[in-house]
Amino acid sequence: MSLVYVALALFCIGLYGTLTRRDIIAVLASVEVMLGGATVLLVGLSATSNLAGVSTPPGETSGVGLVILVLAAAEASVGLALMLAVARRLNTTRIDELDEVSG
Amino acid sequence: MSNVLLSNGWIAVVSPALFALAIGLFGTRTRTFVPWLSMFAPLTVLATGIAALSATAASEAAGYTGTYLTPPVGEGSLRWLLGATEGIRIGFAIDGLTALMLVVVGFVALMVMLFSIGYMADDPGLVRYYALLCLFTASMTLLVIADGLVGLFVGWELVGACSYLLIGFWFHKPSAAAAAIKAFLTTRVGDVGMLLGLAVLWQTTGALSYPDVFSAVPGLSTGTVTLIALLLFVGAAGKSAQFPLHIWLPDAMEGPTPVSALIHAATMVAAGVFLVARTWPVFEAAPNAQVVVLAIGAFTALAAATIALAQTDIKKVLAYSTISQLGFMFAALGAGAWVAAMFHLITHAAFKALLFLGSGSVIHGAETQDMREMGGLLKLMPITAATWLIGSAALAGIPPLAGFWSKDEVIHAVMSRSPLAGVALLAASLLTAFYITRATRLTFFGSYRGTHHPHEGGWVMWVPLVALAVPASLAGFAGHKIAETLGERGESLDFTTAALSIGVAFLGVAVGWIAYRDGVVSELDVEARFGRAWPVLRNAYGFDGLVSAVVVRPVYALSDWLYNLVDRKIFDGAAEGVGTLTRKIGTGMSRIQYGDTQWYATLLAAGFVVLAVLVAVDWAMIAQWLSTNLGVR
Amino acid sequence: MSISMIELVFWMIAAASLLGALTVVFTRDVTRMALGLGVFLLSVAGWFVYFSQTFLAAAQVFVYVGGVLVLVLFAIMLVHRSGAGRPALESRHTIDSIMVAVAVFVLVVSALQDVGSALTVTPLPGSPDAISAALLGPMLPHFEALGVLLLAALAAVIVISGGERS
Repeated sequence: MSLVYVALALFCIGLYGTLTRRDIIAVLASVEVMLGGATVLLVGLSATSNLAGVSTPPGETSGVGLVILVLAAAEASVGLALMLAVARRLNTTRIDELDEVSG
Repeated sequence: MSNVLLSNGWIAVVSPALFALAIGLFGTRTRTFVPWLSMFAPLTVLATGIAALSATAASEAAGYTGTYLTPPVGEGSLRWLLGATEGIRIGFAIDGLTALMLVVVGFVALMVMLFSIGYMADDPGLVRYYALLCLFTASMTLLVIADGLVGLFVGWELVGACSYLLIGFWFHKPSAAAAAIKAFLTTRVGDVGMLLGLAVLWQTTGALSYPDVFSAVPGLSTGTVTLIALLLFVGAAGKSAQFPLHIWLPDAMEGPTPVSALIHAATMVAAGVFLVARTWPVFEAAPNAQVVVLAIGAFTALAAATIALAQTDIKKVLAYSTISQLGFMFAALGAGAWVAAMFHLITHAAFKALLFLGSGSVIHGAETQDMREMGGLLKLMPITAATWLIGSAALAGIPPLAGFWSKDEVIHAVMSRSPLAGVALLAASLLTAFYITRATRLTFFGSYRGTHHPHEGGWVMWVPLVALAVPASLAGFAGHKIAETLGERGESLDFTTAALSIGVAFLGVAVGWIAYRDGVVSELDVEARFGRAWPVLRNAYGFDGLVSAVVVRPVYALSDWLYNLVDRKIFDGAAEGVGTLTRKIGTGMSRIQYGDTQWYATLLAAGFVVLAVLVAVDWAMIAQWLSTNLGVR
Repeated sequence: MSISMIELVFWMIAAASLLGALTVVFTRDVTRMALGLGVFLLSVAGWFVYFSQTFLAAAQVFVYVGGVLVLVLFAIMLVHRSGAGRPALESRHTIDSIMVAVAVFVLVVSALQDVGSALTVTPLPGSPDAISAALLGPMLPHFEALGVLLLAALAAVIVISGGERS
């Protein structure tokens, strides 16, 4: 049960950072924290739980982890590239200044 | 051949309609052929009519007890609007009455189409004109050939539409457009009455085809039959321009003159008479309705004849004359002499179409419709003048021309029913002789007062005149034949009435001839002599003004009020209100779209929480807890 | 109250990851944030070791600590290269976001009550053999899709950060 608390705490800390940070790079870092928390929970539960008497094959636990890892890496690189493009074109990395859709 | 035409009578309707469609769609490419091609349409109708006539003559009417006048020589129908009920039968039936009408429609339409080649030669709308004429032929044929009131009504409305389109043929002229609308709206009043009559018939008898209706009529109460008859008569009065729905016909003269000859003299306006004759068993069972028909017919005949006295437009004279002559027919119908009415319808179709085409020829030659700018055309346009003289003599009732015989039958029948109405018709005959003599004198005699060079049109224009002059002079002798075709015995000439009407006719002609001697009494002198009466007559007793004050202006006022209040304020207000509201909501909602991505994310997370709570919470348990502990239901 | 060795390890990793996460979220210094992220990512690798997924842990270290973290540091250097000193990282909407985050935490924890009680004591180890068997066996579609995704991400990064051609 402690695992659930810790992993969700990580997720929610990341969520808080994502919602509050003004710098895009900090937002991206916070997203990584959310993703990490979720991955920890998933891999941890997959490795240790045997809900309804069925436990996940060990290879697949790592396999799912790898899938998430790769996804997260791709997400991070695309996100950073976007940030670079924004910083170069609009000369800012502050997310609250990116409000062109404001009505 | 004739059998094929009769057993497939629908061909007479479909073929002109197809011609109309084809000409309307492809006519512009073959402009020169269009008029000649169009003539196949009335030729079909004429051929069917002639075949029917000969077949009717061959089939012995004696002993026939069916519901038609004579044994139908061609019949066919199909059911329409099938559903839970048996549907409505729509089909055709050709008996003597229909055969006569087919001949009249086909012949006059053919003559008019021929005449129009000359009259409309330079008109850019020639193709549209012929397409409409074909459509009119189809509609009129449908009207007369239908075996029930449904088909008749369809044709009835179609001829009304064609009339509207042809009166407004020169729609760029505001007066023509206005006249077209006036004609359409005025006849619409009558049509509504007729539709109500059909509704009552359907309600009470459950049938609309002639045989079913006629066999059901004896079972109806007198009041119902009178109501039906009067409602049908309202429709007939609207179409046939009887008082007080006559106001559209004079204005309808804005259309091309051949159209006036075809639609507004010979065929369509006679449809009212045809309707009453066709549904005669209904009127026969409603004596009170007959009295109304007689009164309105006689009144119209007299009043319209007085108005015709003072007109200066040659077509207006003929228009009021038509109204007056239709009044004669209705008076005959009211007196129960529907055979006489049909007889007069046929002779009138011949001589009035002749007169209208004659006036068209005059207008074409003299380039004016004002008789004050004519005169002396006898020498300049001899053929037109000769045929016009035949036509006007027939109208005046000079024996042995057609008008004399039929008018004599009419007056005799009316006189025996109601002497007062008979005297009115005699007076109308006197006036008729007078005004047509006046018109003839002003147009053809004396010296030419205009500035153009009147000339005879080509052969296409005088051939129809000559062709129409033949029945205009001889149709009177066919009275017995016509009566037999209609399944009745012909009346023999009543000598008292004949003497009276001959005397009256000659008196009218003589007075007119003397009164309008060239150079002795001019139109202006007449006006001066009659003082105020003349302008009143010229303006048709100001009836248009009365209608406009009593009907048109209140309707306009009501429309304005409805437009300003209901349409602008309520409907537009509602529509615009929806728009304004949406825009305001949009403006309001756009305020929360202020581009703060993180705020959106926050709301997203909050929304997730709210949704999860909604799903996770056991509402049923809460409700139960509330109801057990707090008594909340 | 005694704490077993395995529990001690658990709580040490938990402490490290929470510390790293809190640093990322709360620090006002860009470099410290990057450092905190590094600590966090390493602790995630630690979690994987704790759950016997050693290969995954190694991959985590390679990809994240060796790849993504370096990328983040590059980005920081590229973006914040100008200006006096290191810029301060600011926060906003703090109250609202704390409320939302806590609400999410409470909700998901309460939803996962049953799951937590079904944990076994010893996790099953994920050997490279088993992983490759899984990836080329039942998870082959995922594997292939990931390849396509990586290619797309590669192309996207090149296009997006390619910069304006003068």
